[in-house]
Amino acid sequence: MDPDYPLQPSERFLDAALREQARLGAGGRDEEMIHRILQATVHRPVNAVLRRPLVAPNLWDRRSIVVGVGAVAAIVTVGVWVLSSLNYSRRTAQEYQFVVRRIADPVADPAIRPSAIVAQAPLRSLPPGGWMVHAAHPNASPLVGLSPVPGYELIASLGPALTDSAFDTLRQGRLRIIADHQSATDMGIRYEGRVEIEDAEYRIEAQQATLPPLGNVAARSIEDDRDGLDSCLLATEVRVTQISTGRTASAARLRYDLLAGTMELSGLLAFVDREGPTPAWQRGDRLRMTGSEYQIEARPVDAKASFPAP
Amino acid sequence: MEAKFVTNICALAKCYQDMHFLTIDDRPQSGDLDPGHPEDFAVLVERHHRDLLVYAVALTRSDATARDIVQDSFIVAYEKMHLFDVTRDFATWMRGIVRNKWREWLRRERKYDLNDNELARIDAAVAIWQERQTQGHDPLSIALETCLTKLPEDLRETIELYYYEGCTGDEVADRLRLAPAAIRKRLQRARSALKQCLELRGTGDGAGVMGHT
Repeated sequence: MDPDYPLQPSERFLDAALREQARLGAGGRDEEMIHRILQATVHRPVNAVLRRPLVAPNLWDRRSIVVGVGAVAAIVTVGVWVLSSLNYSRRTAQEYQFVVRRIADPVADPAIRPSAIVAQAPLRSLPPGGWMVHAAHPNASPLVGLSPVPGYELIASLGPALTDSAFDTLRQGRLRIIADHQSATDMGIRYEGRVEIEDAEYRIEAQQATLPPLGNVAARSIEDDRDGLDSCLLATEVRVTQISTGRTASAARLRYDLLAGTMELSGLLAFVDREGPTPAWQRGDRLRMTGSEYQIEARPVDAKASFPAP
Repeated sequence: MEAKFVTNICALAKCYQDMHFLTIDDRPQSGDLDPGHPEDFAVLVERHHRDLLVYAVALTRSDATARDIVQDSFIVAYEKMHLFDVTRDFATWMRGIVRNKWREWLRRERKYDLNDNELARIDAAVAIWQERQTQGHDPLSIALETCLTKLPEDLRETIELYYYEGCTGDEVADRLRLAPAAIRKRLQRARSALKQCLELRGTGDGAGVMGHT
């Protein structure tokens, strides 16, 4: 607010309306705030709801005093234990923002080194720790007036929102990740222990998940199953809920390609489709979900793990 | 003139009744949505959060505080849903919670701001747009966008620089090579014209053609 321009009370409604109009646009929504509200209300785990006793206890009778002293002792003991183990089991929450957009850079050329790809990327100030992945789409038609080899790029940041008003944006979103532990490995950032991941389309619970390493840059086909790990979230022992359809599935492994927007579950353990009859599937099958569509593939004879060995 | 005075008095009276939680038979309800149902609550959050943000910004004049207040208000509403009278209007109830949060904030910050009349005017302005949206009319943001396009060029340019580009008043004055006092006057005129346009749209009389006032 500009302190040099004091407002009359009668102007404050219009001033506030204009500020929100400038921030959110006409008809826009404050998605971040809505997300936080829903996380704290309708999406809050049931066991987090406080239950109040119906009858207020008498705090000064003998039994209450004994129980109270015992409870205080227990709390102190647990508190000491928690403090002593804080470095090893701190539950953390992080948010990744990502944008997938069409670019005209000839990134599919294997002769171009990754550093050169970054240099050719459209001018943008990436937030600290931001990373990019470029990919060429083999079936994409050339854009008029642009390079005949259009491609796609995935831009992601850890923490701060991407403010780039992306030209020709295909997809954008955010991943919110909570886990007991996180560590940096050669494969990327690994989250372990009660991992919860959520974006606009999926809710994922997993035992372990890995995001690509920061600064990773690679060129690949958007539909290439083998070489797409640089833009994929990988997880094991997962339970997935597709928010828009209510479908739920459990599987041994998960691969969520942020660039293509496809979710692949291999080693299927359970699958329920609330929108219609669940098709026949067998334990170990592979489930692919893209938007509202899905496809089940029989378990391959020579199963090829899509999750890399640690 | 007399009709306008009567309209204002009526709006103020209705607003006072809302503020003191009296019921009015013809008050619009929350449609067929049940705030106690999680899915309906999510819809109500999406429907009302923007108007409540405008309300909170108008009260606090702080964007960040306003967002905190609106977020806390929805969470409190969800936790106290068993206290919500289903015969009452959800938007009115939410404005009441936002107002209480704002008063708590004033007490914490040891501030005094807005008397009852001024508060009632802001409340009435927000209430009109919440009611219209509940009835399926254009929300405030759409109406405001239309009104902005009808502003004279010089006023629109000033609004763009000040609100959309985030310039201070002095920076706008530098950009437009005008005195700061002239910019202040332009902003006042622009807000006055927009208010007039919104009042026309809010009462269903259609948008008026705006000129210099």
